[in-house]
Amino acid sequence: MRLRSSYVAGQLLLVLIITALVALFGRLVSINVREAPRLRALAAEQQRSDIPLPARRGLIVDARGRILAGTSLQHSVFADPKLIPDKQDAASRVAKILGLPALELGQDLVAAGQRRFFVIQRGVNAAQIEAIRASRISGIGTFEEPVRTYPLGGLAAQIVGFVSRDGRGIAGLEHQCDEWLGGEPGMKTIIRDAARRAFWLARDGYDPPRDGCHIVLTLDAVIQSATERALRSAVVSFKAESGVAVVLDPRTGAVLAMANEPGFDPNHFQDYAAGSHWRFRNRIITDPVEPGSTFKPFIASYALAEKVVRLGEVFDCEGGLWRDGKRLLHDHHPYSALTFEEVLIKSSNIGMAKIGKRLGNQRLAAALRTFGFGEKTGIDLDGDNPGIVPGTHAWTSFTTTSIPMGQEIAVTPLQLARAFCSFANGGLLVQPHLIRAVLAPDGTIVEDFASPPTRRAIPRRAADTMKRNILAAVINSGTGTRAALTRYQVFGKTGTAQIPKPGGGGYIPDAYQSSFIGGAPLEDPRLVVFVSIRKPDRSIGYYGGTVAAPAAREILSEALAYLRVPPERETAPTVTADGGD
Amino acid sequence: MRVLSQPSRASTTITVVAAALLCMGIVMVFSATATLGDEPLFADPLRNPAIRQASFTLIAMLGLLIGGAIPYTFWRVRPGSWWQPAILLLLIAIGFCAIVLVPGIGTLRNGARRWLSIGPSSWGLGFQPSELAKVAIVVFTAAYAAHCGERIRKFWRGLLPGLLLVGLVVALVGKEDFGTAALLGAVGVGVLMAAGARIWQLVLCAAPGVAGMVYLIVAEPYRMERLLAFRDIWADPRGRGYHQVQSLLTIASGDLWGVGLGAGIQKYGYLPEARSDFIFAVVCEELGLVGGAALIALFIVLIWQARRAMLEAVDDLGRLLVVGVAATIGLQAALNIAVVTVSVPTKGISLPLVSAGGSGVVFLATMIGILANVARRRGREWLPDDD
Repeated sequence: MRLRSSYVAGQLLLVLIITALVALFGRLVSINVREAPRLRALAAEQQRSDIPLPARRGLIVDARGRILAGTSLQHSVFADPKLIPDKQDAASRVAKILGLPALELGQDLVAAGQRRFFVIQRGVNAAQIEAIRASRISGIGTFEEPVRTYPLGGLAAQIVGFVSRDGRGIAGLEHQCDEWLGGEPGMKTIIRDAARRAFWLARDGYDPPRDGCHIVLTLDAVIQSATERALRSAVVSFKAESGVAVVLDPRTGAVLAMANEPGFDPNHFQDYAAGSHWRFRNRIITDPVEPGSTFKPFIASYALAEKVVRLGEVFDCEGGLWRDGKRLLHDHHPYSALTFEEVLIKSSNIGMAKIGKRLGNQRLAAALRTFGFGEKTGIDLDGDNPGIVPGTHAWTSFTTTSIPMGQEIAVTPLQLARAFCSFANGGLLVQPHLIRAVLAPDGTIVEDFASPPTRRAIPRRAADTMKRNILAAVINSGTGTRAALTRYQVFGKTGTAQIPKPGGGGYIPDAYQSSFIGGAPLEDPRLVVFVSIRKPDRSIGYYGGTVAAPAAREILSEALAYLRVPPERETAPTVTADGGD
Repeated sequence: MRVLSQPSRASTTITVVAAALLCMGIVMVFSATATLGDEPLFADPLRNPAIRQASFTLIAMLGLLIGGAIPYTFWRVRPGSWWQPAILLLLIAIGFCAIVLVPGIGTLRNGARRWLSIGPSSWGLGFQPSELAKVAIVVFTAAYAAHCGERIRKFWRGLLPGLLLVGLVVALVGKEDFGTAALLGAVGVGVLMAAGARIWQLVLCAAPGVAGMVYLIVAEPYRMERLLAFRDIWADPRGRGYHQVQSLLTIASGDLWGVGLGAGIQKYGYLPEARSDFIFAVVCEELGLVGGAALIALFIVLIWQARRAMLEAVDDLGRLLVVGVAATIGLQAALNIAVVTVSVPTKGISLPLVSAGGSGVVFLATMIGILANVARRRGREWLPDDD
């Protein structure tokens, strides 16, 4: 009863099934080859999430490792309004812990509606965070985020700068060194289930963030602090508009302090009105001013080096009033005959004008060049202003006599301090610098900025003569007596410049720039200080020797002691003359 | 009656392949059951799908052995006797398939009434009459056609009575489970065809069957939806096409060697029915194209061995049983893989022996036991004893 046809039908059925299975294998291959790229991309899209890992921003530290800018973790409280069953209840409980108005918070939460992330408060203290976590309110959570802090507050704020909320440097060194400080953010790729719960790291899904480098400055927070204190005190006591002070190491050009008053607190930079943003600026390098008498030593020393004057040579100071062509020059005190040294010590404009005429325009221009005026100082800070020095072709008959007494040109406080270092270091022009080194997060040195090269400004003899015979005498018996220190011999020069009207055409009446530039100790000077007070109240005082010299004295006194510079003497010098310009 | 000089190993191969598929099932169901901590494996072992699957597989192995131990002639039609195991089985299956449709008795799962609960509902135990129907159809059609012999070529006295009973089961199952009904119909017709039924008669009878299927598709909106979704799954990848899109993503994620056993991701909520109907996709994701191919190869080996057993079977009953069992397993596997690879519209068809599901593995394993028994008796002098 066995039938052939039935064999055929049965076999056919089974072979058909096998054929179907083989065909399905082909389909499987096709999915894995032809359609795979698109399908795998879709699978990755739904399964994987890339989570950026922020890099830790580097520190900015002073020469001794004190932190000027650091990063700390800030605790914050957020809500996922969608997950809050009773928003009013949650609001009142959270508000109680954080000390916020419950009603307003409730309204905010209702207004946030279906948003998944609503920041209730940033910068919550640890106890409150604990309380929030312990309360276990549904839909309320905490998170941490790095926040830039400036532990020393407004100290050197214009130099350090600040960062935007998203952590990018937007001012000062924070901005300038953003690439070093910022590091490189990493990324982690996590695998999520369909409910969006993260459960593990994808293979090769962890690219660690590379933390930012640390910036080491030459600046010293203690000297900076002393400088700021002295400057603020001068600005306040003379009811001045503003002031700047800079402290350099004359041997290397290293910036030890840079103070701008009034300053600001970078922790709250947003709180300053738009009109007061000049506070953020490091005016020491950005704002050139007419230097006035503090400029005289540079021209005088160049004249000495060029041998157009001799030490002890007598100049006729015309009894305090001298007509040179169309120009009428006068001195604050009438002098008839002054030696070359006395012209500087007494700060005679007429004497300086005569020295200027003797030098002539070409050599005057050369004097400016040799001390680096009219060119950028080369400091490693953004905003290095070259000052305003007109070319000789633009000079008028007045210019020849103006420049020797620090008029018709504008120089930045840093340019002046830098040029003055030449007298302290034997005639070398240093390059000011502030960034000492860049360190990797583990502390290894990435960049070591050794002291940049110097160039000779004037011969050593001219520089030393200037320092010993003239600038020291300014302190001991001239206009700078209030800068004198008991245990060190200070050398320096005062200046009281009028402030030109912004549009040109004369000077603002009763507006002065009172300055003092000086250094100490006399032998192997360690510090050069420049203090300049803008628009002091004339009724209180306005001479550089009165307004700026005491502040400079204060700075020198504290900084020399701090640096443990051996005292030059134990007794006070004899002071013979009063202050004045 | 042929007598082979050497006994073949087809029976052993079939048993081993079936056991291998069952083991693969346990491993893959364990993998696909992995969750993210909200269902720890041993927190409530009785309710854990993977542990249940392992337990059912043990029962299935038992079924495999019992099915293989009972001489297949047990199922033959005994003329003039009331003791007709094949017909009895079919009647039981029909009874269950009818009962399950009664609301309140049949349990709704995923919107279909396909389950009969056993014991309190907290046990979560149940059994699917449609799985029993698979065994019943194969055994009944084989026994009936073998009993009819040449008469199967006659329409009224041969083909029709058998076909009507098959149609009844298909109709009952089809009410709630279209895919299984289609499978049952195909297997029933296949066995009758292999028995020598005239093709034109079958075709003629198939016409109302096809009409019935069209009615079933139109009557149930979700079937229409599945058909529509199949036409372009990318038109609505998050809605109608979601299931198929996820299945393709799962398969493609595996590449050649797979992401590694247990390392699949799609099972974490992306791929629905990951441990039951779509377990093949999980195999492809975790074991890759190679794993998928190996699984297909196991089914091919099983059917190839069945073909040999068929050719060498000593009688029509054995031959038809082999065709029926092999067709059931093979067609179900092919249909399931076709669904998973989005080659045909979605149907509720599991991968035989591998997908999670107690009734499925137990009854299918028992069927393979019968197949193995036929294969074992092949080539031996064997005479049915009259009881």
